[in-house]
Amino acid sequence: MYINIKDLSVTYRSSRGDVEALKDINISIESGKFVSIIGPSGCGKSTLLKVIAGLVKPTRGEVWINGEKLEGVPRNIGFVFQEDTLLPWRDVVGNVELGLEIRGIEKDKRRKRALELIKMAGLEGFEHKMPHELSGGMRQRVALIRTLAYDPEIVLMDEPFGALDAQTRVILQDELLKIWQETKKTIIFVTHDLGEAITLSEVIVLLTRRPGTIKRVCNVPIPYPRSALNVRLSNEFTEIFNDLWRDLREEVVKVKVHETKAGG
Amino acid sequence: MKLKPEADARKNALEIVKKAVRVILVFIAIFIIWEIISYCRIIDPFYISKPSLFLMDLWSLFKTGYIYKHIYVTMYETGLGLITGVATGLIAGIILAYYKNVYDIFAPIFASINAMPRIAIAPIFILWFGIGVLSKIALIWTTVFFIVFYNTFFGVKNVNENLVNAIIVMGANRKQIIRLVILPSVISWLLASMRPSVAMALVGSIVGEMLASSEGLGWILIYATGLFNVTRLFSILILLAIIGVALDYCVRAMENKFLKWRPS
Repeated sequence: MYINIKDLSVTYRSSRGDVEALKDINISIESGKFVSIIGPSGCGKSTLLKVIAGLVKPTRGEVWINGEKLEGVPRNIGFVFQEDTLLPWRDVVGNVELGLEIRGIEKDKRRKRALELIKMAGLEGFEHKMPHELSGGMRQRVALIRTLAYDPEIVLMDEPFGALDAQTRVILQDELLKIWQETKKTIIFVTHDLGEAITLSEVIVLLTRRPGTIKRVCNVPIPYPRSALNVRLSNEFTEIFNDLWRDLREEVVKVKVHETKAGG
Repeated sequence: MKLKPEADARKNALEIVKKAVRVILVFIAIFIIWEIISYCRIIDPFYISKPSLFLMDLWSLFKTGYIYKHIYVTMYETGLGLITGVATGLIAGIILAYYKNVYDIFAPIFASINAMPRIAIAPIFILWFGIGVLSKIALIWTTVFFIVFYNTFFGVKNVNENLVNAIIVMGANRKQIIRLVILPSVISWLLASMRPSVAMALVGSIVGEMLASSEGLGWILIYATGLFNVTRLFSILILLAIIGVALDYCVRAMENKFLKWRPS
């Protein structure tokens, strides 16, 4: 077992009282798996990722990575955020080599690695562009290769394609699938898009509405290599989609009812 | 427009020349009206001198070399006051934004000193540091320090948390967080504080020299006033206006250079 989460609960303290984000999460994620976490908005999906990244401390419970109990930020982890987190004052190369720079890799080496990745991502010619000169899709591509640059064993992705248009999304999903198959990194991918979760992952973890608990863990038996576009046309996809959609819908509807009650 | 970049550049240059000519014409017009008012004795020239007189006086101040020493002294005070004020304000801003307990101690002290009319501190500085450059540098420091301190403080507080999280996950330590994210984002706030800082530094040196000194442009102003030499007063005022505009131009050029990464 690579990542092991035991009895995890997270409660946020705020001035308007405590908010329970996650409750009694128990899950094991094997090395090299592509796991998606899905659930209604506000169910604590992002919080779960932040706990694994060491950015949020669990209120109760433990996270074990590779047999070590998590304390602070784990060493070999990458995080692709939904928000734009490229440093706006650095050009593309400068951003891609950031993780290597933090690890004290000498300038020539890290530049070489960054240029390789830029080439791989099809961003040649944009090495010295500033982030604000790139499109949203290009920026997320840079964010992705910036994470790959220092070769983390686990990559956490928090709705990384959420802000992109549908076409760019499919292209980046394909690229991510390719990268995962080549590198076999452990990927934990948070999304609220069920189709995206089925397209990409081997395992889907469905969370309930807040406080988020695990409602269901489901395997996606579609063989790899997959193509983001063609997967959606297969019978398995429709089957899994309908099956999971019932459970997801139930949670989303509960949230809506809850909100209406609170509002009224 | 893309077809003829050189024509575009020429058009821009022409615009700049046109603008400059317009500004010069406005000043010439003011000086001519001034000369006429003075010449026709609509207002007694004793009080308002004559542009022909003070421009000649200004010319002779440079020709005889008398003015250089005084410009040097005033600029020396302004410069050193600025450097010490910016450096200490920057460091204090970062420390207080970062360490809550240091903030709790110093914030009320800073707030009360900043609430004081700075000129009221000048007599005690003259007592402590004498009538030389040191008392002026101290006076400038008290103004520039607070401008830079508050800007830096709010700059640090407004650092994009997502950027900080992104590099924490990459393994950055506290020093690296400051160097890679906090300092660059604070620089934009710092640069915003530079224009008022430079203006206040010039005020500080002139006021300091007017209170007690034996050299500098402020001293010439007081000395000329004592002799009812209104012509000399106006030549120094014109000179100060030119210096002020030139310094401001330099700061703006610096802003443009360092904030290139910003979308325009």
